[in-house]
Amino acid sequence: MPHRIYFVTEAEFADPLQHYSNQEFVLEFEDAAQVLRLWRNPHLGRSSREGAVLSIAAKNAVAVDNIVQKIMNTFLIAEEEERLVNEMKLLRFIGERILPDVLERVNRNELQTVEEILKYIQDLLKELKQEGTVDLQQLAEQLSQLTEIVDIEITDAFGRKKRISRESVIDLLGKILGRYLMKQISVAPIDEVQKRLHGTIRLKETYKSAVLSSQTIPPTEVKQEDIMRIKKDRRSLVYLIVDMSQSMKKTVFEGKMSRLDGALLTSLSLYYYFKMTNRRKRKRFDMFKLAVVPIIKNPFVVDDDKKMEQLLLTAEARGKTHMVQSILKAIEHAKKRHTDKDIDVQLTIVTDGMPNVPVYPFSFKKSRELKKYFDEVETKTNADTRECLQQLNAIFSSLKADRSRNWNISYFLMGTDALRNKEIYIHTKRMLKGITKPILIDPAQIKNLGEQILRESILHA
Amino acid sequence: MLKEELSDVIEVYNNAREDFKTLVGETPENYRILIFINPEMHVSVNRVIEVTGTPQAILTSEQITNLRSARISDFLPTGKETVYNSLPTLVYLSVPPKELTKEQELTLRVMLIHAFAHAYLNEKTESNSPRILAQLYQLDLVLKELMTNNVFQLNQTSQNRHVWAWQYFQDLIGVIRLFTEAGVEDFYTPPEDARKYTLFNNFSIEAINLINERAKVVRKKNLHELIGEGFAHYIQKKAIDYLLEKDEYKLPKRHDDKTIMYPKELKAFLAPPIGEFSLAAMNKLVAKYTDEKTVFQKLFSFKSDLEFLEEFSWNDIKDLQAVNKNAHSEFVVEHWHSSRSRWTDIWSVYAYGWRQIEEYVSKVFRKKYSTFGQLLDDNPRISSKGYVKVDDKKVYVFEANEYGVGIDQLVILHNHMALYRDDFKTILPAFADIIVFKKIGGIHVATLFAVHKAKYKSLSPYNLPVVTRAVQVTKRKDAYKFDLDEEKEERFEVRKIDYTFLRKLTQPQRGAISYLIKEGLFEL
Repeated sequence: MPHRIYFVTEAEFADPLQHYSNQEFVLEFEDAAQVLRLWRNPHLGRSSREGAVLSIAAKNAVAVDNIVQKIMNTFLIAEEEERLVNEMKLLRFIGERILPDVLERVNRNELQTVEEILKYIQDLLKELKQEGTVDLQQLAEQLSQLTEIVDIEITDAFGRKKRISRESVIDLLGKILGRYLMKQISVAPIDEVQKRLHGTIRLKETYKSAVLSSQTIPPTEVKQEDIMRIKKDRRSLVYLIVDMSQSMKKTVFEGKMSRLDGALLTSLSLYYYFKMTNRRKRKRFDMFKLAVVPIIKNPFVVDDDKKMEQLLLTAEARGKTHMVQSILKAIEHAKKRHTDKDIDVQLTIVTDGMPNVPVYPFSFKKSRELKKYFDEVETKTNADTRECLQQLNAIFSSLKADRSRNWNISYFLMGTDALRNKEIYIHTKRMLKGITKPILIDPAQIKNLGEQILRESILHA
Repeated sequence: MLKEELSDVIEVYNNAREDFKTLVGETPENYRILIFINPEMHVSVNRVIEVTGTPQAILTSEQITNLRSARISDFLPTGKETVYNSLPTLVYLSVPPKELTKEQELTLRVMLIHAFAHAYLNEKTESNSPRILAQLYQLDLVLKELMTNNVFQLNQTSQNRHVWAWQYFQDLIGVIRLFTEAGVEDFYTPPEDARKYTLFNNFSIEAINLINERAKVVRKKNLHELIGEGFAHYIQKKAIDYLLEKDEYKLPKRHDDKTIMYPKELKAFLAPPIGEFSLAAMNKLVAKYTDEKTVFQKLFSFKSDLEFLEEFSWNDIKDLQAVNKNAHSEFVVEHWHSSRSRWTDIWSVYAYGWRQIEEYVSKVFRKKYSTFGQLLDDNPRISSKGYVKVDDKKVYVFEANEYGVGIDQLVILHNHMALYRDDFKTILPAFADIIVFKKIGGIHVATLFAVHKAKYKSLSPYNLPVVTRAVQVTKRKDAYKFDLDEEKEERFEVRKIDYTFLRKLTQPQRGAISYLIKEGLFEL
């Protein structure tokens, strides 16, 4: 039998677990903000409590079934196996002992709200801990699934309604926003084989080219121009540092959308944008990775779906602008987690003000020139902010001087063109002198924020 | 570009064919191999086959939701090739890495030989299984196309777009498939002349006919899993021994007992109980006839697992299970799992696998089952238990097993009640309100579904004002005593409840029914 190879696309062989109704669902950016707001408020949904208990039970049963198969059929590393065994035990326990009890109490009207159900289960699990059989930490994490009980109804551009569980909101929103961004802009293909001076030599291609040019097999010689190399894979790690201080509360949009909403949605869309671009290519590693660092008092690095969800759920605009701390956090994270020096680091800062909480002790070498500038200039800017700007400048300069790896910095200021004459812009520009230029972005154009950030910071970096 | 990337795979593929030829004498010729570049797709197809039996079958939305949720939590098994034993045999694979290491090469080679063995058996066997599976594949494909086209048409022709249509049709097909397969008789099919009125009618008549045909076909399928797995694992064992003997691959050995450490990805083939048991049965058959050729011929002539098992006595089979289960319990946890896991945790999973095999074997051997239909009837996925009459209205009672219909999907049935057809114009299989018993995980619940009369026109069948109540079925005496005191008087004057049309129910089930009717139908 002749053996033939055909290529079948996903259009011809669709993912059987796809929710088809999702595909057609079109959400505008403002709608997405609305969804986000609904999602962050668990009290707006409604759902039958009994039905909710049953659906958890059904979901648990399917999960247990699959875990059993996975333990038997898939090779697992020790941690993963431990996780699965624990999850299985826990799901079984919840299914067999806790849910029947919960159901009965719901029948009796003893548990009337989601919070009550949740608390009741938690209490049961606490008792269990005293028996010393199950790790409470594990259980507490599991309980997150109960928040799914509340789902929300959203309407799309065509007036079509749709109910989504809170669990899938981040996925739905992220994909919509990510795709939206992808339509606007696309990162150039990275894996072309080219005639280039640098990069890994591709033996096969080179050989082929040599055969073609010398017209003999084996080729008589390999000329310089026959040498084919792969364009060197530069991997980038992008840290999106997002302002979440008090001022971000400002409403800039008719739909009562605040700067914070815009910033969060932009983070989400960028996060999914990279997640989706990475998935499209079959590569040994992700070409880009995005982590979000909120500018808050105790900054942390958001680099997986769970943390992203946590950030979206809990973020609020308040407090001072702890930008220096967040940037240091990102740098520390990059140095610790990504030791490979081939990975470029891109710090992208989005803010609507100036930092105002300096770090002490501060170990980077501050620029004398900048100090002189601030000493001489007549300004209303307070001392803390001036100190912060000098610290930022010191950090950035040291990164630029770092020869061991590439650090790129881009700095976005939210505000209209009128800002150009204000102190905030002038100071920021002075601070960034020799490093990069601040880019003004109009917060009313918040929809295009993601696109602009991508274009300015990654494509033209 | 892709062709080049697959060059390693093709080389391994050709080697595997050569190996198979050396081992068996011939190669299979009638199969397709589908390699997924997106591994998630492969996992999904694998699960669809596991849940519905065929790769193209339509899942209900609840099944999809639950599987997706399991996929998000990373609970789905990965890595194994998936073989659909039809004719042509369909083999699904995740794309291997671009450049294969020696170990990956060996894994892929063994996987392919395993798949070839399935394909070869499917070509040679006298059983109807592969041909029926092929038929089912086609029927499912037609159903899927039919559904897709109708959803498309419905959205095109109607003024307000029916976003719900896709999910609704999915659920509809899933539910009707279940009912027809289980042969539940209280079932309404629209008359043939309803076809011309709406697209919806036409679709449902068409779909119901197809599903009926599908149910008839699937019930005739010979049980053939044990033979298929047995043959494939037997050839696979031979292939591994042969490849290792050739010294092309060097595998490390364990320090303690000097056994070979097989590549990790072969776990799916070497660890699960089904391989252990079917291989042992094959070995026993080979020992009985001594000559491999005769054994293969015999194997091809078996129509079903029953004939295969009847080669041995019941005592032999019980021994075969006990001995191999014991041996399996001694090595599998150590060889394939981390030393940090507790033995009891892991073994319980395998013991569950063995229990399933034991159940299957004893059913086939003791009750002489040879077709899928017989197996279905033994533990029907859904069965009718008669009805309760509440005033003039019938409340139908069903019992679903674990694999039966999802709770959400039963909402479908409400939309076809004659009583409320004004709200939503369809003529489809109609039930009055229903009560369903179902075991979900560890809870045995009774659920009531009823529909309020709607004041306004419903946006979609999912927006009907449905009353759902659920209660646990339990033996406890006080289980159904609780109710809402203040409304008590109102409740009893309206209802005339007649339980005489129910059949074969336990006392707790009856208790649950009366509770649900008092609690749930009260509001209507």
